[in-house]
Amino acid sequence: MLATAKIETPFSIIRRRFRKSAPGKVGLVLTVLFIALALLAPVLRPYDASMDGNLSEKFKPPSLQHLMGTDDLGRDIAVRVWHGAQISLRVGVISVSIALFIGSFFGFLAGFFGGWFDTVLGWITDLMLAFPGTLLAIGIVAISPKPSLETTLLAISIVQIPIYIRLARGSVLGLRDLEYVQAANALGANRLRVLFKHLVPNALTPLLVQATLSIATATLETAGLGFLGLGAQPPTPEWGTMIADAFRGAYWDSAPWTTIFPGLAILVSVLGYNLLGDGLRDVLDPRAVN
Amino acid sequence: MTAYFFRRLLGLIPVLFGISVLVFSFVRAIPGDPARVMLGERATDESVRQIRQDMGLDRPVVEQYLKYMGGIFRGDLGTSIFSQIPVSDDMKRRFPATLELSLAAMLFALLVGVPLGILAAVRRNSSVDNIAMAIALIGVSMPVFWLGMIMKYIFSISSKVFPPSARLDDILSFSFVPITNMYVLDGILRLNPTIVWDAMLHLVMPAVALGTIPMAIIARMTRSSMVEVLSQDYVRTARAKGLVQRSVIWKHALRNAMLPVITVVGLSFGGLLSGAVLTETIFAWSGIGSWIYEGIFQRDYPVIQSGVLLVSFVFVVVNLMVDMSYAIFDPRIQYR
Repeated sequence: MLATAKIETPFSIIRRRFRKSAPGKVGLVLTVLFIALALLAPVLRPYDASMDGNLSEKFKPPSLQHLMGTDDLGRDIAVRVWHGAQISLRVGVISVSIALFIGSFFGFLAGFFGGWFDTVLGWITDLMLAFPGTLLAIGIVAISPKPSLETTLLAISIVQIPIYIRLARGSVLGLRDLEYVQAANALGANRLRVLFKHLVPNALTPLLVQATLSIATATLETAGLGFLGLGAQPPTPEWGTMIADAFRGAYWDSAPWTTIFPGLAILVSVLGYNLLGDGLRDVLDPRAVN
Repeated sequence: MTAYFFRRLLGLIPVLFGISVLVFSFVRAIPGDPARVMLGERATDESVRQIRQDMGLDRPVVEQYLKYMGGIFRGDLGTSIFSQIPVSDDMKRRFPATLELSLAAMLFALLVGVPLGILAAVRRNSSVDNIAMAIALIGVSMPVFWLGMIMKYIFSISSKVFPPSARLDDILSFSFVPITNMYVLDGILRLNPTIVWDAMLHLVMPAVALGTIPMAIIARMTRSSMVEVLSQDYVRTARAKGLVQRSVIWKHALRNAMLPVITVVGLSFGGLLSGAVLTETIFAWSGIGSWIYEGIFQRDYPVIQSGVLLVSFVFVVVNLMVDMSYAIFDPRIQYR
């Protein structure tokens, strides 16, 4: 009888491993749910989350009508939190993509070519990493003419660039002297072709795991800057800014729901990214599996 | 090893130089003219020019930088534009406050994080492990300022367990003369148990809020490091010769598992210093974090400059100490 051998492709291995990773699954569900909510926000509740309020309805505790209560201007907090998901997702994804692209591009070049470029870049990364991240972000926001969501986005991606430079450089260095790369070199392949065709695809794994975890950091930092008044400005329904409104307006203690729900939204979404990142690491890095 | 330490210390100089240049140019790039901010919107151009001249802001940037750096070595950091108090006076008062808060936060992080990590590693894949790691995961995902507010709501507003803000009770701080400005320590030095107790009560919530993220990171690190060590041959040998579990874990495994944890402690310290900006704002803790923060809003060049320089210097030095501690804790590593 002929045995039907099951052929395992790399993709099916990854899928099988991912199914075994409990944190990965929970993270994936949370993240997908969160992205869906963010994308659906303007479609399902087409309110203006910044403006639509009813002053006679202000400071109402959570009820069936207003699931998360209302704030000082009688705006529905659930609607604002929902729309905030979109802002948070946008800032997280865009800032991390910028950092990932710029950082790994320079990191790959530095790791592959070495020489003075590597030295100078190393010096710049060391210098940038010599500042605690949040402080650097605050500094960058402070020199922009007016705090806004865009400056937050920029600050967060600049802070993360050195991390990707290091990671990309490190993973190219680890691959540079392997036999298959030497073979490509020996066959006379163009240097840039060797780098981008042969090395980069194999060096991407740690970068992608880091990117997932970076979105978590970016979300926390966006909220932190918003809370300090250095990020998105009211009436933007950004979660950190909403909490800051309640704190500065001194109504967070008499109407705690104005603070609790935006904070929970931050916590749950960051938790989702972190779980997904942990899961991806388990799957993509076989050594990390217990 | 001494030569290695010495070389690393020398290596600090270019980094610190780079930081100072960067911070200096950063602060100059903050939009808004401090002279104008200081005098208000309606000041005449003449008086603004006069102030700029007095503060040396009309001089070339390189000259301003050299003058500032020269001042640092003489202990003169300039005068706050806003309060007109010498920056070094403010710093002497505020740095110990942040240091006290950071140390307390790190103490909390270690006291909770290390046992949590050990417990999870020893009972690997059990429900204890799952719960411990869930706590750690929630910890790393926590918006610190929000946690601070929730704690304040539960423990100061709903119940009066801890004081909501500041570093000492108003009545106490009126008659209290600090020595080091770390109030718990000062209370001990002055043999005043009331101060010690009150200062500690004020310290609890800010320290827990600030220490939550490092606690979670330490717990995760301790777990993975312990799991690795526990699977090594020498641990099996220790078990085989009949040592009790407690002795295997605390005497044999833990010592080797702590090395990566030390790194994490050092790296988290920088996070503590900048996380202090948020925590200090929530709890009205008059430390470096809230100082820099106020400085940014008041365009107070000398304050921002000195505050950021101080925090980054401390960060760099702590990281160096972490590197050096390897040489002490891991005898396998040879330094030349």
